[in-house]
Amino acid sequence: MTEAPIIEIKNVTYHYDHFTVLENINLQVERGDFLAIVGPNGSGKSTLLKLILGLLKKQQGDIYLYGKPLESFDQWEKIGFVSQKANSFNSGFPATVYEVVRSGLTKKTGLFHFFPKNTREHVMEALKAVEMESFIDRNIGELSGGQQQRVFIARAIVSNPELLILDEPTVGVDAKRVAQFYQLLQRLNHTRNMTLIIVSHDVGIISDKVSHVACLNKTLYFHGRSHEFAALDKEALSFFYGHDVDVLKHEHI
Amino acid sequence: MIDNLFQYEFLQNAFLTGIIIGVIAPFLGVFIVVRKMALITDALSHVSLSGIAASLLLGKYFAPFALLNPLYGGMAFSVIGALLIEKLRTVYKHYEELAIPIMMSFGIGLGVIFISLADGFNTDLFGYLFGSVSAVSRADLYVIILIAVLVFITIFLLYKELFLLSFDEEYAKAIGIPGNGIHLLFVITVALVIAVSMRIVGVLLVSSLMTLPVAASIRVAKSFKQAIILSVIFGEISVIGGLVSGFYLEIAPGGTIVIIAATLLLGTVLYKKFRYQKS
Repeated sequence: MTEAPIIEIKNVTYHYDHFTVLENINLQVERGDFLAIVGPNGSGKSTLLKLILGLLKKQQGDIYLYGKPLESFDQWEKIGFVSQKANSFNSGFPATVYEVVRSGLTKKTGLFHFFPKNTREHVMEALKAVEMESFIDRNIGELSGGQQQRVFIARAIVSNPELLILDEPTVGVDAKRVAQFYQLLQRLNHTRNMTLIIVSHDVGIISDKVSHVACLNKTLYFHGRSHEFAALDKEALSFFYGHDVDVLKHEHI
Repeated sequence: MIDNLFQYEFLQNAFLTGIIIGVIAPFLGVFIVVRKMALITDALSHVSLSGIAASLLLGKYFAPFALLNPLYGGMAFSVIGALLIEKLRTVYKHYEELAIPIMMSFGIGLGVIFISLADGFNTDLFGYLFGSVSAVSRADLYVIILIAVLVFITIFLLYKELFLLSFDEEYAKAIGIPGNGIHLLFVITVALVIAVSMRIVGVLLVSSLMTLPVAASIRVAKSFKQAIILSVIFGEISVIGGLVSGFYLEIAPGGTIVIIAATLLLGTVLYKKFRYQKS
């Protein structure tokens, strides 16, 4: 028997009031994939992510996680998440890196249970994976944006998820750090066989770092291996991005 | 003072109550402040006052109610107020902060009506507004101990969930934490603690006990745990210092408690400034 895809999205359509943001999306993610969902701002990427994570109620179509319908899926500890908001958290929050990373074990530990004794070792291990172990007792607000981002990855991987979902993780991280950041993700993908989904509007940087690309702008324009994506002619790409190509580039200057 | 403490039951009641709320109010306060909900405490204390006024009014006209501790009325109103605030926040999705002034003015309005209808408890009322060293009865103390234990257990058991919800609500919900249920439970514990703290600090100042020690602690705390411990220490210093000085100076303790808490806050601000300039 072949393994069910990690994520299967079938004919998903979503409206905000009368405005259609996603139309008839079909997408599969297999174990070990490193998928980038790219698209301009307002293309429905974040909406799709929120639907997968159950943060938004689905309207039409079906979503399966590990072969189970989303509504009855209960193994959330298999999924790690790095939110976009992580970049804009309250930096005056009194918490150490240890406390923040440990909070990634909240679900796994379970309601009304205390963190187990060896928690610090788990946290240390996750911090080593993102090369932040020497910061374990530092206040989170004192770190740079890039360092904070790595702490949030550590928080997401501390529970050893099989699937890691990242929503625009490099917004606010300087360009030099972005390359290092993707190396880190590739390492997680290869050494831990972690399935990764990254959502980004940054189509140029991403396509040579990932195994699969999905281009989204209300509908799914392209979904396939990244080298096939790279081979697409520029015309098709600019059609997909419309006028947004220029705007997006300005954002990075 | 020590002699008096052994001699007079009312002083024992006041001090034991003070020590208890000195722990739970700042403890909950840390979560309230980092979640930027500090104003909810003001709204709920005013709603509690109207609950107490309603109890006193009922007691005046219907004898059986006179036996009922007005603290229950305050707690009931406070919890209902908290639930209404949460409801209002979902009604005004884009103006969530509106829920606070709505409930606050509603609480005062209702309180004023009840107080006017039963114009016989003015001395009592002074104690409810500004706190009192002599007003806590043994029965009050038992209620307060019970509430404190319940609140403490709840917060202790939900500590990790509350931390995560405070730090990053979206993430918490994404990994499957039942955020709404826990939030509701939390708001109810806040409502209860406000109602029981009122006896000592008074309606007008009860919010200060949940915010000032926290405001001081987050200036200097490195970790969340440290913020909680420091808040409780600052809270205890304020309450005990405020009760002792209030007793000797014959001042309502609400005032002295808040002034001590504010002094501690000023101290931490200056300490931070001094440290910052040195390094």
